[in-house]
Amino acid sequence: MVAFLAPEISPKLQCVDLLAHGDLEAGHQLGRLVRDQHASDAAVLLLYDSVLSFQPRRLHSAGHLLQGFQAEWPGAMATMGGGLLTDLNLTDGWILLNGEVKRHAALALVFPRSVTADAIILRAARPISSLMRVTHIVGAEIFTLDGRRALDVVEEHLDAPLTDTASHPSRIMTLGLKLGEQWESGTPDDYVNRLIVTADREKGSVTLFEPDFYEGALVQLMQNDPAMMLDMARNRVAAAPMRCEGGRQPFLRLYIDCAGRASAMSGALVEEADVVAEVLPDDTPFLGFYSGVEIAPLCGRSHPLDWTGVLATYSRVG
Amino acid sequence: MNTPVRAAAEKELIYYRRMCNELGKDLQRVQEENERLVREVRRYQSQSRLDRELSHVTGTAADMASMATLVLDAVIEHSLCARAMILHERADHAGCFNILAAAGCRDILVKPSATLDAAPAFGHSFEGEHFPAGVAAFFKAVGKLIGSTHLIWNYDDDSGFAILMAGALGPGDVMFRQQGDDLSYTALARLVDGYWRLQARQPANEIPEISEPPPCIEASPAPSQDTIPRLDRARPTIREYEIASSIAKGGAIEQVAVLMRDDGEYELFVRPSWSTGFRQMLTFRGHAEKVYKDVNRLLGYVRTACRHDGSIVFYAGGSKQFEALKPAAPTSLPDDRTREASAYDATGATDVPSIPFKRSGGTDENRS
Repeated sequence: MVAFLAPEISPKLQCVDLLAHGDLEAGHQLGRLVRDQHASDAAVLLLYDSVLSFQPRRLHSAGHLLQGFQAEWPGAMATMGGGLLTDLNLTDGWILLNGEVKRHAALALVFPRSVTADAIILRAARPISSLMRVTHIVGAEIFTLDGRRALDVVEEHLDAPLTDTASHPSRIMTLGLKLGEQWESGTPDDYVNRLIVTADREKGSVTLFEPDFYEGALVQLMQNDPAMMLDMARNRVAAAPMRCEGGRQPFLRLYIDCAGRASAMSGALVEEADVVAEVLPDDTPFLGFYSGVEIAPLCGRSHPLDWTGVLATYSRVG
Repeated sequence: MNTPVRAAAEKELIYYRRMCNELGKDLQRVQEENERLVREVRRYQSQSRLDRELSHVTGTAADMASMATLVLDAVIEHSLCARAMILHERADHAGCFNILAAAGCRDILVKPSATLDAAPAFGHSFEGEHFPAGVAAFFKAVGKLIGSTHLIWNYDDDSGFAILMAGALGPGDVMFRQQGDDLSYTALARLVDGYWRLQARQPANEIPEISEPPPCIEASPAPSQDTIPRLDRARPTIREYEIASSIAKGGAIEQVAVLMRDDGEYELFVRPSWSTGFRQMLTFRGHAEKVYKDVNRLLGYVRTACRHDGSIVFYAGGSKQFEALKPAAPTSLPDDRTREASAYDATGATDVPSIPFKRSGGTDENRS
């Protein structure tokens, strides 16, 4: 709580460390804890341990956690947050809380009602395929697209195999689900993208970072574009809410940045996080971290996002 | 919709779907080419950053243990590897390597030494595929040592130093594979340079107390842009160990001059109190003149290693002063290493002791 010295902006903390027993149930429990003590319009920051196990590679589901959280507490519809990681290889994640190292934990920082939160979501992916229908999916594992083995369909769009012999992606690809009107012209902002984290050549399936796609969904293969990522950072961050705008006093900017956007992963020549820091409109304290999944409101409801940067601005009203 | 119209609409749909997919492939190809170029640039940037960082580490570390630890920190940061070790082959037991330092190994038991027979100068192993192919037993041994089958090995046969790096399963492994070989080579080269630098300083450390100062020659006037500097023709070059040991005995570097070459690099000349004129700095091993690309590094060297706090005169390429000092270069005096060493011996200074390790010859020490 180093960053929050004044009581009128200090968040209250609620924590559960039951993610290993089920992300959905942990979300429900966290929602109940928050509901009992906080108003439904309070700004909330949700942080959780991303990694369930490294080998085999299993991740906690932000989708299920958020679903449980939102089911119990209406304020969670505007949640912002992210999944915590120790490194780019997704080997581990933990939370240091009250002098203890907690694993498989999720915590909600709930701000007083005098605090508002605004989000700017920065994207980086554009579609590179026509629409494909998800015809068989179990959890996060897509078995068929348009009635054919999903891995075969995806690799038809690539010049090289999607994964190496250890089933790790040889390149970073995402599947995008367009929100809103399907047949209208879309922008990158209209998509929820899911990173392909692994594939099974025998079963012909691809596994996504989150299990929130469904049978019948129309998806497109998306490719990360470093130039677009940097342009969007330059153009949008400058529009972040400024001091005294609308009677609000920003006291913290928090940048929740997908680890895949780091230059080592994205292939960009400059660090996108540096670009964000450079174009911030004022000297409001700025903090950031690389995340596994980002959580931010989209179309009136918070979603887990992949491959995005979420710039949250916390302001005190009055 | 009647059948012919529906059929035409479906054909059109298929046409546009195909075109969309083809455009997507084109976009990917363009982007892949762009990424390939960016990767190349990043590779050079990473190598350059690592080289600069290690140059600083190996130029300032007080002993091999601290140097090895700092080198590993830099290697892990720049190559995105999960684990790394620095090993040193025992002089009395070929194939037996002491592990000088290890990083990222908190979850495995690090042995103090290991026997690694038929160690190649360079090798890597990924997913069961080895290079070179004929030393499977070696890769099995190093894999067991570092607890991974994704590894890169680099070994300097002359000095006996080796660096072993292991990648991590996951997205970061791609970077490790792309850059690990270059970065491990850079790290090993710098480590060996640092080792020789420490060895070169040993005579100064072995002097128990300051004995008589070396004979001081009458000081010449401080150099300026106009005066023609005088070269010590009898001993035109100097190495760091001579400076260190002579300073320990009470000598001093009285004047410093720098030649600015046309290629943007700088050569360093010092006038010690025990010499009759300027002498050109050579690298640790004396194979070539010490050359700097970065004036700040040159300045740091003059202030710390030479303990000279006075002014430094820079002479432009082609100037009379430049020409007066230029004949000191080893290229113009091909055998001056021997001459310089024998002249130094004649002063009675302590020579470099016999070094218990093998001699190095394969690394570039002249990149300051």
